[in-house]
Amino acid sequence: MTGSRRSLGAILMVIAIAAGTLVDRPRHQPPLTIDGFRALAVDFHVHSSLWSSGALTPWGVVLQAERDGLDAFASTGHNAIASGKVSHWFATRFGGPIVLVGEEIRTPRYHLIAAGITRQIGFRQTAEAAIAEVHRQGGIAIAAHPGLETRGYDATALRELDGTEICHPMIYQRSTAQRDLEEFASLTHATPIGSSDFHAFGPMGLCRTWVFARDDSPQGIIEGVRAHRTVVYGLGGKAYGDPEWIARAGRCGLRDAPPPEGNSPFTWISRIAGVIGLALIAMGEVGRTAE
Amino acid sequence: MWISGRLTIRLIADGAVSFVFVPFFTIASFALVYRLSNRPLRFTRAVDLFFAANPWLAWLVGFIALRCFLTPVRAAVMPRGLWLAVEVSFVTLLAWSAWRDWRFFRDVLQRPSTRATRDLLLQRAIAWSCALAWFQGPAAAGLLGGAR
Repeated sequence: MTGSRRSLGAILMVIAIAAGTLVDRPRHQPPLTIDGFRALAVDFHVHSSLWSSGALTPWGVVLQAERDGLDAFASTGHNAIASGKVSHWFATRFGGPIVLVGEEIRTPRYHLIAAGITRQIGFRQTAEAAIAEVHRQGGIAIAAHPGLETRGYDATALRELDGTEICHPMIYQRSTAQRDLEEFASLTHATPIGSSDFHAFGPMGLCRTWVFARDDSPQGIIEGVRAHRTVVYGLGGKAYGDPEWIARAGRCGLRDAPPPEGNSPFTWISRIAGVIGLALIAMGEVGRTAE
Repeated sequence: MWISGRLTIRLIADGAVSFVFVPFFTIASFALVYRLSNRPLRFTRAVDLFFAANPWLAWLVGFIALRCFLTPVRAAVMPRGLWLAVEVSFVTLLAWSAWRDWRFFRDVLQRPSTRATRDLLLQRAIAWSCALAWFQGPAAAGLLGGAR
C-alpha cells in the first residue's frame, strides 16, 4: 500500500513537472517604441538566494525575469553587491533581460535601492551620504518601500532621491499603504517607481516601472529615470508619472500589458498533479517510517 | 510553485541549489550532537531516521497546496487572516518537530531526557543560527549595526 502510494505520487510528480516545464518559456515580446523612446518594463527591486533571503539563485532570477515579461531588472542584494554581479555576468554571457547591478542598503532608519552601481556601498552612513555615493558611481537612488522606514531621510536626502517606490506589493495588503507611499513621494522630486521587492512569493514584476529610454542599455534606463520618463500603474490601474508620458503610455496600451503569470491548462495540471503527488509521497513516507 | 504557480525542472533545480544550505546545516549540526554521547546506530542510519517522516514535508505540501487557490497578487501578499493561519500552523509545526526530535534523541539514540533536551537545543541553535546567517547575509548586520 505504502509502495503503491509513493509510486502513484512519483508518477503524478512527473506529470506535474512535465506540464509545468512545457509552458515554462521566456516571453518574447516585440520591442515597443514610443516617439523614438524604447518602453522598457523594469523591476528595480529583486532579491536572490545569495545571502539576500530570496528563493532563486542569481542566475535563476535572470531566467525568471525573462519569463515574467521584464525587459530589465536590478538585482539588489541586502547590503551586498555580489548577487547583482553574478546576475549581470549571467545575463551578459547567456542572454536575457538587462541587469542593473544593485544593492538594497538596509538600515534601521532607511531602506535605499542603489541601481547601476559598480562597488558596494556601506550601510553605516546617512541616507544623504549613501545617495551621494550612488551618484558618484553613476547609479540611481530609489527609496525602497518608504511607507516603512523613512526616519533616515532628511531634507537633503529627499531632494537628492532619483526615484521613490509608489507601487510595491504592500499596497495590496494594507489599505493605508498606497497613501503612505504617495505622501512620501509628495515630499520629494523623485520619479515614481514600481517594484515587486521579489523574494520568493508571487511573480517578479508584479509591480513594475515603465521606463522610456533612449536605448535598451543600463545607461539608457538610468538616464530615463533621471529624466523622469517613468510611468507606474498602481492600485486599480491608477497611473503615476509625468502626465505627458502617462498619456503616451495610455495610447500604447501599456496599462493593459499582460499579467506576469499565465493561467494555461498546463499550469493547472502542474498545480493539481504536483500537490496530490507530493501529498501521496508524504503519506507514503509516513507509512514507511511506521513500518 | 509559489513563484510561478507551477512545477518546472528549472525552478526545482534552482530551488535545490538555493536551499541546499538547509539539509547541509541540519546534518552538520546533527553530526556534532550525535558525537556527543551514546551512538547505538551508525551515523548514516541515524541521519536517515532523523529525517524520516519529517513533519516539515507534510507542512510544505499544505503550504504549496495553498498556492493553487491564490492569484499572483495574493501569492505575493497573502490576506492577513490566511497569513495568520500559516503562522499558527508554523508555530505548531515547530513544537511538533521539536517534540518528535526530542523523542528521537531519547528513544532512538537512547539518551537520558535531560541530555536529549540539551542535544535538541544545541542542534537547533547551531542549525538555525547558521541557516539564518546564510539566508539573511549582510542584511542582518545592517539592521543590527545601524546607521546615522
